[in-house]
Amino acid sequence: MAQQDKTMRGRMVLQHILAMVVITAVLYVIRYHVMGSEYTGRSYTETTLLLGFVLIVAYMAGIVAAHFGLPRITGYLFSGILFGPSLFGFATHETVNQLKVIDGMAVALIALTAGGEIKLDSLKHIRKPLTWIVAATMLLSFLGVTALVLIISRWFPLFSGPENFGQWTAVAILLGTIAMASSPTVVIAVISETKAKGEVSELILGTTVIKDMAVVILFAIALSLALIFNDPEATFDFMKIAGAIGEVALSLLIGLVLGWLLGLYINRVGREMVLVVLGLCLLVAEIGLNYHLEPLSICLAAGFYIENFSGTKGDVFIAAMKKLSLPVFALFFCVIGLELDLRSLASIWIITLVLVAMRAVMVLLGTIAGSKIGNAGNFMQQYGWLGFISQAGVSIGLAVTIGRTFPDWGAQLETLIISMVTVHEIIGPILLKFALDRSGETEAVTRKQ
Amino acid sequence: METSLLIGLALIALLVFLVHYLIRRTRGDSIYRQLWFSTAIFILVGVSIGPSGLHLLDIKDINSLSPLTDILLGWIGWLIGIEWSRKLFSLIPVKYWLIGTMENILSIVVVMTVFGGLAYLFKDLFSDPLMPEFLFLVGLCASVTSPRSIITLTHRFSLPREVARNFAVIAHLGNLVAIFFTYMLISFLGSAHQGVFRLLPIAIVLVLGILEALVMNWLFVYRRDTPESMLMVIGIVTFFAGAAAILQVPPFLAALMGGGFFALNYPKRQHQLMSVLQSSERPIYLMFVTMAAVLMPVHEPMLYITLLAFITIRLVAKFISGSLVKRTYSKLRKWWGTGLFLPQGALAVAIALSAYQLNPGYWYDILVAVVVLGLLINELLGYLLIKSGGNNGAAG
Repeated sequence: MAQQDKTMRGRMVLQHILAMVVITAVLYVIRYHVMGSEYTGRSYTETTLLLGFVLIVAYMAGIVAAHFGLPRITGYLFSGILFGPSLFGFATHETVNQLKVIDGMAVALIALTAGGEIKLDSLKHIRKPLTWIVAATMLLSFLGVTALVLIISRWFPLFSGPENFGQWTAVAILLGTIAMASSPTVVIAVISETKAKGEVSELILGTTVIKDMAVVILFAIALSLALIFNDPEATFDFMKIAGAIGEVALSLLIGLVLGWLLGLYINRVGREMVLVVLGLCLLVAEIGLNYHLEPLSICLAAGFYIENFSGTKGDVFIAAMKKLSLPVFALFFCVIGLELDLRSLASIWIITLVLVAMRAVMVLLGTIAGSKIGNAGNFMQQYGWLGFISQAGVSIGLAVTIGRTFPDWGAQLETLIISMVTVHEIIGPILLKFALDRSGETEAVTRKQ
Repeated sequence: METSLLIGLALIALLVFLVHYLIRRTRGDSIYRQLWFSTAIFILVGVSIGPSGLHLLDIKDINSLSPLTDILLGWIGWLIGIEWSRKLFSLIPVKYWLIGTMENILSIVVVMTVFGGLAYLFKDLFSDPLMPEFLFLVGLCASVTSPRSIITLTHRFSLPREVARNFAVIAHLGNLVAIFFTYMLISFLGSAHQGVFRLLPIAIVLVLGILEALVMNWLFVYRRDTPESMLMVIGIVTFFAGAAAILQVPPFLAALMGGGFFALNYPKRQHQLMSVLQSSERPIYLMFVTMAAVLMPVHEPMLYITLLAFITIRLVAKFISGSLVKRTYSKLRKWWGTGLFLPQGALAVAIALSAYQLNPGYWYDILVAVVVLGLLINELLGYLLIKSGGNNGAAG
């Protein structure tokens, strides 16, 4: 039996390699022999070809990652990194830009799933630890990273640009704020994949979701403060903060309305769910793009409403979501991998690692403190912090805003933040899966027990 | 993709809510009616968001839709090809093969001849240098029939099982002939208006199809769960659709070849793959029809004239070929043969769209629109004809 399994596995590996050789050969022939110098990566047909390639490679990388006990999304990320502009360069920057359109839709779909995972009953049950963990991790991450940057910059400037203590304070505040963020998309992808259930997964998901919304508001405050520290003649912009709060509130409101509409559809019609979910996600992505609203918050609220207030036919909705989720996750994380710029990480890796380590320590301390005060279980105290390491889209978006707002040193800080996010993106899913496995909440572990 | 395109796509999905609400309000017992209505509404949605309607999508958006159209055509190609079966083909008597072939060729000849006559009468209108190819294409689109609709109709009217089987098999065989002719046609259409037969496009389609099937088989052997298989299938279909589009051959035909090669060579996995493909069949079909409807020039009077001519001539053609098929079942009532052969499916639209991709132009645009609208009218006509011929299987 063991011998048969071994032969089967060997055959499987061989066939996957063969498939990979064939598609890479087709891609190579088309790119270098058929198209030659005409290849730009900008045409729609080229994007289609690369999209297919990315999906196939992601599928295989996901299997390889799962084989080594890693989350599939790590495989998707690595396949993106491997074939992206940083390494093999099969996908050009133009192609990546074209594929980014999918980002908004994927974020919406992931958030819809995340919202659907938040149940009102369990939220009531974990309210206390949730509040304390959110507060403690955010506060400590901010203080730790801000203090570290202020101290280091006295002796060893992180990058060129800022000329005085005020400007370094601005940098420290912004880095501290970004350090508070975690990635709900990574969390929901890993929880969906591992089918984890329990206190740790609920707390990690709830915390990252709340942190994500809070960071948008806090970033507006931090940005206004940073502008004052950068230029003492500037004034504190209350409107910016009010605008950020309004953005989040309006996004949640729109999400609830969409959730109500979707609930009506599920209960009264319940057909063509895949098309409806897809259409809704595209619509939300578009609303987010045009009206400066948060697709993530909109869909979180919509998913939350459907799960908790739209009656008993939620199964139809969940089935439709499941049908779409894996291809969307694969594409989303693969595109993230394609976007990751390893070259920027290579140039500032020491300072990046110092900041990553500091943030990790602060998240650890925050989780322990929050869990103890909020009476969370032992597993949360021991492993919960590993779930808050990952960072993704929101942090990158905020980094881009910084780059645009501070022409003297914003670009350097943006590169540093993206380097940190790159590290967090690579290690975050692995750590989260480890935490869920150790807490005994993943389906694989539960089955073994 | 542009902003308006995203809004348009979102509208497609959100209007479904209204559609189904309306369907529920209409009187009617059958799923058949619901399916008909939802196809009709999706076509309306496509038209309304397109340049002829609210103009949510402009020409740039329509161009940006081409990858999606390629992927959908690839998926439809696989769905059709995967149904082939070596075992079934070997069990079908020679008589059926002959009738299927003749039924199809007869339809092509009738439609081509009458349309050719019209083209001769209105020479100024039909000035396409590839007119013979275009007429042949019209005949091809008219000749195909939907075996699935035959099953649905026979079930709906409780017709004898033998009728369902015979007609479905013959329609299937007739479609095979149409597919063969489509492969031939692309060699002419892809030759940059020279009207020369070239082997290269066929060779590319064959090679791509076989490679696609091989990759699908290698990766599908140890598939895990459905979402994982779905990811893999989407990836492969998308990749080869892109490759076919770059190499300027129809993605539909490459995928069809892939599906057929897979079905004929790996029958053990055929049904597993079929279930994965079919799990998304309905949304894919509706998106596909909607995309085709987006191109529809509804403001063109010629569309309606051509549509009328297409429906009428096809009705005559199918009346003749339906009479031929009557030979397989002696107790067949009047109009049943015609009624069963009228409904068309995605194959007709796929053939028209594939030709349009190779040779975009006024008449090809009109043809896509005619075939899409024809789907609805033929479905309805088939239903009405059978209803008028007798309502239960106790006939004869």
